[in-house]
Amino acid sequence: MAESTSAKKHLETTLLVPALRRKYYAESLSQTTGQKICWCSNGIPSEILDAFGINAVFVENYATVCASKRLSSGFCRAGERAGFSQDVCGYARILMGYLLGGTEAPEAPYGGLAKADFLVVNSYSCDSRMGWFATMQRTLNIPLYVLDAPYQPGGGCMDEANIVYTESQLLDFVTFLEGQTRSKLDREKLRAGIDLSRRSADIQTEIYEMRKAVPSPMSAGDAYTVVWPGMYMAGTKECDDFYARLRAEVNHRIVNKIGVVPEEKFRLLWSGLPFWYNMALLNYFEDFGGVVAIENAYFRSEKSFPPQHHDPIKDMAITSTIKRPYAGDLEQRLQLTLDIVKDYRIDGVILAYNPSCRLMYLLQPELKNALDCHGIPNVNIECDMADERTYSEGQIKTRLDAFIERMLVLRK
Amino acid sequence: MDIKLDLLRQNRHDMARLWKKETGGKVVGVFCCNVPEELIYAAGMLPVRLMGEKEEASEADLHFPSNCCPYVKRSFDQGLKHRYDYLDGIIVPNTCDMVRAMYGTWKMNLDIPFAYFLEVPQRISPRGIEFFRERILDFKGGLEEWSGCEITAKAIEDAIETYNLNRRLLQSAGRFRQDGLLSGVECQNMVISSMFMPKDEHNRLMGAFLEEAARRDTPPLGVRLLISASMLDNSDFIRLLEECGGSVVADDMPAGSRYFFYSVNHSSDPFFALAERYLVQVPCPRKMLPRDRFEFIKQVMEETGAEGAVIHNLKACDCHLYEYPYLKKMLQDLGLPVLFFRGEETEAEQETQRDDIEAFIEMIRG
Ligand code: SF4
Ligand code: SF4
Repeated sequence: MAESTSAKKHLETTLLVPALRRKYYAESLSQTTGQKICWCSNGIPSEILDAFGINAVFVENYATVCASKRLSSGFCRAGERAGFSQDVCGYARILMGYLLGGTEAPEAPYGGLAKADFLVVNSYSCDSRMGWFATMQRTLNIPLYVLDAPYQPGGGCMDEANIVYTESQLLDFVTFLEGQTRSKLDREKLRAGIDLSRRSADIQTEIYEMRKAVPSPMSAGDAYTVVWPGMYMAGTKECDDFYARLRAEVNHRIVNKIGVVPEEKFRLLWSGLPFWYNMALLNYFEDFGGVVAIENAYFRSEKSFPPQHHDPIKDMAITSTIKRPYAGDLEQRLQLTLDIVKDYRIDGVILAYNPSCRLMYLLQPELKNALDCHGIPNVNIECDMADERTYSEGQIKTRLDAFIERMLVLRK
Repeated sequence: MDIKLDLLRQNRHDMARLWKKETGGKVVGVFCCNVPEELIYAAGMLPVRLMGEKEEASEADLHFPSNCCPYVKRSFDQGLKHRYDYLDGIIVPNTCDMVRAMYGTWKMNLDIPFAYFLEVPQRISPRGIEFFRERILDFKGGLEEWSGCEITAKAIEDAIETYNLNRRLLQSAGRFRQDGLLSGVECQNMVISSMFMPKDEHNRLMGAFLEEAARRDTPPLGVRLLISASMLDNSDFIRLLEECGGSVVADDMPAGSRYFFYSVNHSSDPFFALAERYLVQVPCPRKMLPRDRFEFIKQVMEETGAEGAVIHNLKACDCHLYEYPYLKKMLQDLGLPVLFFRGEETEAEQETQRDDIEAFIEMIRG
């Protein structure tokens, strides 16, 4: 296995994540209680799966694990040999390589994924997920549920028909899970899970707010790691405790003016997904007094909505129909990033053109136009977020060096 | 006749401008096969499928990255180059990532008085049909509010009838193609011209065309091919297949049978009938669980006696690229040799494809 190139972590709390992640994969592999195992895509409300006692394995995360362990080249090659074009999502090619690569695929990290009983994918994030879950279904020959919801380019508008449809799809999902587990949904458990996960999400929002501080208390290198519990352990006490602890640490750093770099000279925004096989690139600016103070992927600026209904499913339907800014249309997503630039006192933007992630990639050129229009320095680097073979250290560093030079001149 | 059909596509902008001048009506651009165009037609407007040209997308390149669907990018490029300045509105359905991105992009960069996003469920379920019906009603309301005119039940009924007639005529063309009375190119040109002409006018044109074709001597068919493609908004690739000795007798394409295969049922609730036709019946990979889709392809293949299959996927089209390994295997398991292309549909690319196609056809001839 090639050596890992992980980001330098500045916060103590961040260092807890790898153990949580290992535990998560180990538990799903070793469970003997007859718990059902579901492979799912990001964005599936894990609180529902938890309420059924289902062990949820989020496969996109496994792709990032493979990439961060520098195994993406081998897995992607195996996926491509199985017929998947280099155009399709790097995560998908890794997983297709894992599933279909046979002996040609590298050794799987953490001993591989626990065997799935069924699959669940959401329809409203990207085409890629639908495509690769359909492939997994055919390959594994197990049931697949597609959790559908309206796309809502306006970002949500409390439209009654949208709410009714969203609720119907959540209810169908519950029926599907009841069939898979031969048990009934425990609505009280679900209610408690939702309340807890909203609490953790609100702490995360507070932390994003705190990151506006100068000097920056936490860089994107830490941030891309600490999103993990919120994404994969939502609705658990462990997750809640994690963010409470993180908030305390960030607060401590702000109060004591402990920055990521001793003398902060410029602040950057990372737009797009990071390169999981080389997260250290996020620290590259630190030697020059720069810090990647914020990132727009996974960003949240608003607190959760208070419960809209006592019934947890109806509540979920209403709140998810109110607002999903990152699934909104181009104008909204652009505005969100421009607001970040202003609010976080950003001096320059790194535009990660991840060519196989349509969701992030399609935004970048228009974002570049908007940044140019506002006179905000930016640099684009085209690299897949997961497929390491697209990365060229020399070329990228040359571009970044020129960009850093520009930043330093502007800050003088 | 073929040349004339080709010219129709070439002159589509002038034709739409003329229609507008003569009727004073509105022209509405549409993406994908999921928009119930009948309602636009019933509102007295002209729905036109947005299409691109095989030229440098020099304007769209400033707004979109390199690795994305060339069809959608080129259509947008036409907009930026002012060739679609006559459009009064656009309808963007919830189909794929790239089409969805068009909603914000057209609104932001082009002066379009009316932009409507049509939600299309991705999962087929009874509730999904009901929801889509509601969205279609909302779409009708949007058109009415914008135009200030009511779309009457009678106008909808007539529009459905006119569209169904067009579908029947295109289905006849499909059968003619199967029998060798029409070439694959002619058939494709008919579908494409139907996508931007007023349907009643197209029906008249088709009627005359098919009458003439029925009197033709049946020319010897080439190697019978099934083509499955993501989006071919012109007939060049089919022409290439036929120049190399193939005869395209069947297709699985959005600008092909997906546009005309199924009719809208007669129903006391036309909105439900439209929802059913557009959501459930159109065999599009974006919203069907693939097995049903493959059943459709299998059926078409068997009915037409195809001897080989050509799959043409535009680059970065996730909906089709994910499906390809499975589709290929399925076709091969049915005993059909498969030739695959993934590309951008440029002139230069076609030249490189020619050798592969010739070799493929030779191989089938044995
Ligand atoms: S295409 Fe992008 S959003 Fe979709 S699964 Fe891949 S990385 Fe995630
Ligand atoms: S060809 Fe593919 S990417 Fe392009 S519009 Fe059609 S489905 Fe979308």
